[in-house]
Amino acid sequence: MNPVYITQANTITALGSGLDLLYLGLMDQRSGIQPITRFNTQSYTSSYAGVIESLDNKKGSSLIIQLADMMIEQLGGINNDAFLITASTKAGIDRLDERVGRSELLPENLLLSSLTEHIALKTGLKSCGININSACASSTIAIAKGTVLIEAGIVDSVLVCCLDTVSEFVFSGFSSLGAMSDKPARPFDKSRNGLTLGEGAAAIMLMNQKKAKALGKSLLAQITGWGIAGDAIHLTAPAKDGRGLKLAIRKACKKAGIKTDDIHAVNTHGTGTVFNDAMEIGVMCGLFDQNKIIANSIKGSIGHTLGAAGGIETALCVKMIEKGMMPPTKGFRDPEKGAESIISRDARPLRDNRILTTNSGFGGINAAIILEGV
Amino acid sequence: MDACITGIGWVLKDSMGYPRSEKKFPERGLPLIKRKDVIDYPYKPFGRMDNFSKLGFAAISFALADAGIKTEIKTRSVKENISLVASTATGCLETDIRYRKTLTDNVPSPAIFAYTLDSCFLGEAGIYFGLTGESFMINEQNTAGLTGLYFGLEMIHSGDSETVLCGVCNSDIQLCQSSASNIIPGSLFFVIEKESEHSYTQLKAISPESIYDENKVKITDLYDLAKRLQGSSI
Repeated sequence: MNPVYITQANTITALGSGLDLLYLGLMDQRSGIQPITRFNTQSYTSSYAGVIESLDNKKGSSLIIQLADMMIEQLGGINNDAFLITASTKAGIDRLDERVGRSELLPENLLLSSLTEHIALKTGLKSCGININSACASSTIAIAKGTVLIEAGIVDSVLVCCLDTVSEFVFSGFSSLGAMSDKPARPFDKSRNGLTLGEGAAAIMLMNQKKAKALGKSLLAQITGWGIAGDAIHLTAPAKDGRGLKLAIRKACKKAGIKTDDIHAVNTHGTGTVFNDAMEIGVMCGLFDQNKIIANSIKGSIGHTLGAAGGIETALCVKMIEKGMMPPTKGFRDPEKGAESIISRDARPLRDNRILTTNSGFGGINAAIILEGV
Repeated sequence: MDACITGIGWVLKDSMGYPRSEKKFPERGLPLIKRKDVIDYPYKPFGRMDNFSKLGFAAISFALADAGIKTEIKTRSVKENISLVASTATGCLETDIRYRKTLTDNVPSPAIFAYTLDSCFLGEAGIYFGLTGESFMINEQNTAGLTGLYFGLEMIHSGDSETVLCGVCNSDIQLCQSSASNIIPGSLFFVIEKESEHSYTQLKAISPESIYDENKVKITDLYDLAKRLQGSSI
């Protein structure tokens, strides 16, 4: 089986354009979450989101296309034989606003595949690509499946582009579900009361060693394991015992050839909802060595970027491995029971060069990826 | 990588069901799917599902029944190695439009919003049938469904799953672009397993573009494959 490496990792988030700005912002405990002005939030349970200021819903093109174009610009030149996998849950759903009350046929750009097509065209990739959609685990699964294609020798490289934006459509929906905090989210804090939405993008280039060498690319990290599993319990709430997440982590460890005790650092999903964070604390207390495990969440700084979350967090893990540090968790002050020694307000050194990153989503889906320094 | 097809289930405009059924299904498909046509026990969430989810859920239910996999919620045990992969072009756009109208009316509906993810019916099927394997949707303009089939075959080859449900699901929505003419409204799922005495055919995959049946005929489209295996019912 061909080992798979990350050779490029880019991000755009509410903390700025570029992975360095994300990492430094998190290390400085900065927040990109602010009152949203893109639409009227008066009738919703929150007025906050982690938005990218340069995205403008009055520009004429959808927010997702503006974000995709920013990401493509940051990517620079890429090999055009890479297979393309995008990960987005709602892509250009903000364009639906224009269609309300109109009876003519719906335009193609409302389909999720039109985002994939746009990126393929703009980057000059030969591959038409696919979009993977599995709620908030979309990116994590996209990276896992890109890894599968390289491991199996089907392709030498895969470009995984992960994007989602803050639209009134999604914002109102989370508000109606009662899932949003009225203040910026506080992952793993005792007083947490919901998530804050965010928007962002990540581009992750996956390659086998031969391709990377041929193109003169540095190997930033290796994907040594991944796992995907379902709770089979509830459509919009996680299993309280974290059974699906545990199974996904165990699968990832098995692939990586390690025990769960060998995991010492976790980038959690950490949304700031009561149930998600309690579930994750339970999983971390149950699976890992309590004397060694440390974990973080970035959603108190940039919000929950939904389908893009796993890609942004994987990119961040690459940077954490490079720097040997885990950033603090913004908004975490009074620890939830069980989180006392695991989560921190301070940056901490990594014990080794291996990180587990996980995401969970609607439908009870859970996905985990293990990255190791090269 | 090899695996065999052990079950087929579908919902189309003029028929729905599965080949090995003794049950006579009414000649109605979209959008009139009733719980009693799909599952035997009363199950409240079925009534709450959007049309797109009912479409996908029904074909999954039929395919599992066709493969002889016990699925009744009252007797099920967790089958952690069963995974779900589906391809779609339309996704749940019809439900998105319904939700957007509630937003226009200033009463955003959480019950509808919960189904505005294309992958929701995979979660619903996982909950009802106790499937805790992988599950994800693939959005692509190509409606053949072969990428999902390839990933399913790979899951079996690698040992990640013992059984995978692979299929396509598209709602009956009118789009203005020319490529939409290729979209078949409805759903079709295959159950694939490593080996079985009750196989429709053996599949061999070299890549997503090169998947062959046991007669070495190249598979170009999941609906064509189903027609070949099952005759004129589909």
